[in-house]
Amino acid sequence: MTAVGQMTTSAPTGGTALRAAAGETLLEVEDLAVEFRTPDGTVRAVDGLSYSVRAGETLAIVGESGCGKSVSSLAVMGLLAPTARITKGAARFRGTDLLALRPKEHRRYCGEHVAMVFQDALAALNPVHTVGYQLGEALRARHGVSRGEARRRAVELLDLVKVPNARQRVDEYPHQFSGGMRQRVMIASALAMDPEVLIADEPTTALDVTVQAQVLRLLAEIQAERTMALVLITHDMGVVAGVADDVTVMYAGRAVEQAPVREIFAAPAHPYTRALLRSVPSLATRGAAAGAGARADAKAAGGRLDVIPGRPPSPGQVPSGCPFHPRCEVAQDVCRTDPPPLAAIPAEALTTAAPRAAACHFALDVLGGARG
Amino acid sequence: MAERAVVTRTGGDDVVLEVRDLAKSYPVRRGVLLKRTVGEVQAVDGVSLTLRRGRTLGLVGESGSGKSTLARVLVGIEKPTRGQVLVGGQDVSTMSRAERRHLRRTVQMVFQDPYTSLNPRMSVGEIVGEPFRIHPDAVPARGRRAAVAELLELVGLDPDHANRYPHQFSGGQRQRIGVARALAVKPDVLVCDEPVSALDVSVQGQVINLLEDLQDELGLSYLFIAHDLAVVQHIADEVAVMYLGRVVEQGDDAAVYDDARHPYTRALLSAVPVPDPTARDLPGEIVLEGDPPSPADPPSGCRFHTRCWLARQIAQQSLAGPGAGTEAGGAAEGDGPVVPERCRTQDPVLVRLGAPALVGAAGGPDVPHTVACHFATVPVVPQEPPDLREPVDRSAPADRQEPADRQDPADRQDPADRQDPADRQDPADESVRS
Amino acid sequence: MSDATAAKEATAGVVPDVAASRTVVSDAWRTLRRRPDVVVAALVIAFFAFMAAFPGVFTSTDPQSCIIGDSKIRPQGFGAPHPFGTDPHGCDVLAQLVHGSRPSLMLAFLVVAASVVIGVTLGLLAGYYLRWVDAVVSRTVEVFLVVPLLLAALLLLSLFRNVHVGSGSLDVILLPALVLTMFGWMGYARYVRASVLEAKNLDYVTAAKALGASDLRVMTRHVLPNAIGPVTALVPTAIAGVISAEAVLAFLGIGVRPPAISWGIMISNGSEWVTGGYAYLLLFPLGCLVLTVLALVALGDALRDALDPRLR
Repeated sequence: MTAVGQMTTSAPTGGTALRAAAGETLLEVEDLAVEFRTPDGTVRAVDGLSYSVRAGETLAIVGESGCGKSVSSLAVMGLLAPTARITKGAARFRGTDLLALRPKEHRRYCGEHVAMVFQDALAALNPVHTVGYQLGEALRARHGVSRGEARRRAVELLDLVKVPNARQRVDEYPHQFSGGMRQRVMIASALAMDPEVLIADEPTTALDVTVQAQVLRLLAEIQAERTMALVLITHDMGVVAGVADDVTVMYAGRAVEQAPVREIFAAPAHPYTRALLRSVPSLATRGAAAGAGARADAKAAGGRLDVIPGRPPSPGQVPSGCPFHPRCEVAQDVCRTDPPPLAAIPAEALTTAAPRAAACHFALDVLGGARG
Repeated sequence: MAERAVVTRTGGDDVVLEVRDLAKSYPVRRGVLLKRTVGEVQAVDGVSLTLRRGRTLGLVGESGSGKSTLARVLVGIEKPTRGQVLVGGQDVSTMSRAERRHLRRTVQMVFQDPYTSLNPRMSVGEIVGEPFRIHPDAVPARGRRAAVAELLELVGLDPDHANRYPHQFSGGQRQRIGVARALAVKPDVLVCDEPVSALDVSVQGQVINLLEDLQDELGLSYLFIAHDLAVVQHIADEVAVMYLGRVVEQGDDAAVYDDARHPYTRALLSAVPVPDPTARDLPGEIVLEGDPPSPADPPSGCRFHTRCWLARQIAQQSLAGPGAGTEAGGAAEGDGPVVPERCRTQDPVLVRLGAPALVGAAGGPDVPHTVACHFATVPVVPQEPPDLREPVDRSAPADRQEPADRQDPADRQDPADRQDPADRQDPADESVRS
Repeated sequence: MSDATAAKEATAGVVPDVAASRTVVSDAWRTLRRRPDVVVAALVIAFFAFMAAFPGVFTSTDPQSCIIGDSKIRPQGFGAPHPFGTDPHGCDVLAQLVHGSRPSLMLAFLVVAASVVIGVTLGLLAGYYLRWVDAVVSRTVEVFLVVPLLLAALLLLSLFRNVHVGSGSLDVILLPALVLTMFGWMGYARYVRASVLEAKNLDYVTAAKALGASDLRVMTRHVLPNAIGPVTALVPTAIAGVISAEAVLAFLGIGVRPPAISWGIMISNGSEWVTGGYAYLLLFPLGCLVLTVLALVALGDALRDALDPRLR
């Protein structure tokens, strides 16, 4: 109801896997590049992406359509379309490079340790089988669990994701579930194998606001309970602010900024991050009086939103140099020719001990400007 | 666009579009040879709205709230089952066919999905020029090419691109094409149905700015439908919140956003993710349980009572407190959540709040702040026990009940009759008392 | 409007500008002319059409003058009296092939064109208006699907046996055309109805309605062009189907009226001789049929792509 963060203390649903200690690095993606063959030639969708995520923590990957955020996680999961090819890089789970495994092993390994939740829950569920059957399917196939046991586990899983009346609903079909409930079922099915890393690709984008809040809360609870690592792919800065620990901002297939969530919102170091944060109209209400004042000011001033001119480049037509330069307000000549590497920001420019990195020739200026 | 048509003003106060007690229901039919009506979906049920010249009315609600149906009725694609739509003071339903066709021009629509709202087999020039073919009297045949170019320029597109096809444009540019098409017939009102929600974050702002510029330039009025409260807050002068076909709260945007009184509005506001990680742990976040019920089978009494956090709080208070039982006692048994009897049985009407907490935005007309909740005046902080005595008093000041006058009792047979226990879409009932 | 100008810059140069074209149809024509497969397919169709129109150009032999003594002569090659050989009755295969092209092709195009017009119109109306229109159309479709073709053909045979319209080639194919059209339109109606149901709910249809467009305009400009796709895929195979179905009807005496000959009859007769070492009796007419159908498939595909700006 209204209480914040009610913790479920239900028994962990079986599984003898060793839980990772909080803070242990579980998934490490290094210098990942993915290319697609298209009729117009080869298109690089992901270009040298690196990130890591630790047990019990949430990494948000933020970006607009076509920035490669979904493709990169499909690559980690071994679910890329046949036209795609991983040209370089590694994705290590506890030291095992998933990308070096053969496709079949890759998927099997992922099934047990790394799970994924998709945006469109209706498309991801098979309409002709009951929800319980689909939840139990993986267990039966992999662990040779009996029918009855699989069903019992399915009920447990539905309970875990707080689907009311799980015992009855386990025998229903996907179309009988509402959007929010379907997404819960998807989360349950991802949790079936007790994964240590969960990748959630826009899990709440298709949901209503009030339902989105429920699902985000559920994810946070489950994560805390199992010290799971969560990779949350989203375009919504509000969602990022609400749940993430670390943030990776992607643009045109590359990571342009990586930082802890508080730091990135307080003082972005990349002009794209800064522009993105500015261009989102944010709700001014909880600080009632101040919000209303600020808003009245904005309306009086013509009420225009800060916008980023132009549009995100499609993967086939990434501009030369820094891919953001045509839309960037601080771009200089050097930006047109030299692609800036994702470089660590020197410790003396940081306010906290947490390391940050940005791919901008003028990252320190942007950072300084944000603080000043 | 200099020669905008001077529109006849019937009302003195510049009302361009008015909706009175509008309802739209769809029959639910079953059967192959003989279709029998097995029920009806009340998509919109008794909505009254007023839109003034040059202003923007934001309409907020979740899926199934009926906001898109309302839009379709307003632009004349659907006929209302009850109520009136007044355009420029004239009742559309009493008009002749020809008059209505002409009037169609006054209210136009901008759609959500830029990928389905443009015919892929027509060039941009054909799309934007089609209104002239439909209304040949609007622009003489010889001037149409120029008019199309002018429209494209107006929305910030290159007129030389008139020969291109929609798929050659990005989402934001397509949305501009859609706006140009709507503006071709020189409307007074644009109904914008989620015009930016399908766009990339960085492009949303561009389209919103365009809409605001056009409003200033052409004096348009917008009915801006969205689920994104932050966007609505930015663009709207007035806000109406819909839940399951009804308006539950309405008023000046400052009043609704800063002094929300309906528990649903408050939950909605609270659920919007705030792009500020430091606000994460602030108290007062309200998370509703369950999903919105199906409009085919709305709950009895107050339609929100199955998910209402306030009602539950009040019921718990009265159960715990002395002299309990009178108000909530009847609700203690059964499957549903424990809520006050009144919420389960009585349908709250929109009531004007006494003194507005905040005066309307500068220069705007006085917009009453109305709320449809039995406990609208409870000063609640979500986690603290609300003060019960005062609001439960049934003679609480209720200034005026606008839609109540027009409510037709015949249309409101006890909604409880319609409840179908087989319906599975509403898990809220089962998710009580976690 | 700084963002607007930037947006302009962003589009500029994305796609090479498509000359000063105006409509989808003119653009489609422009694209089609440049595709080699389209040109070849068009030439094939033109060749057979020419053969049907002027059979005398290709053979001087009368297909009816069969000398039983000359039966089953194998193909002799051009220059000889029977370049493609003769059939068991001693009739010249080339002459039959040439003279059979007219009734076969006329029948096929007539039947398919009439079926498409009927089917698309009814499917469009049913899908667009639903309610009673849909009920009537859908039930009619089902009735026609259930009645066996041969039974109905026999019935019509007895009804129209003595009806004649002049003595031209139309008279030769009238009865089979009637029967095959009556039982050929349902597929189009069903496909079109299904895609209309999908297409009519798209926002651009709503937008046209909101602008006050008439139902006719909405249907012809917005719904139909986006719902006709499946039909173009059906047409080439339907043409092949008609030509072979005609042979079946010929058995009942309501096919092409003898003494006229058709590819269908030739295929039907030829198939009996395949195993005896006379495969050419089947292969020549079958080859013509396959060639025609393949050319139509290529044309149909190209046309569908050309009419869809996204696929150009």
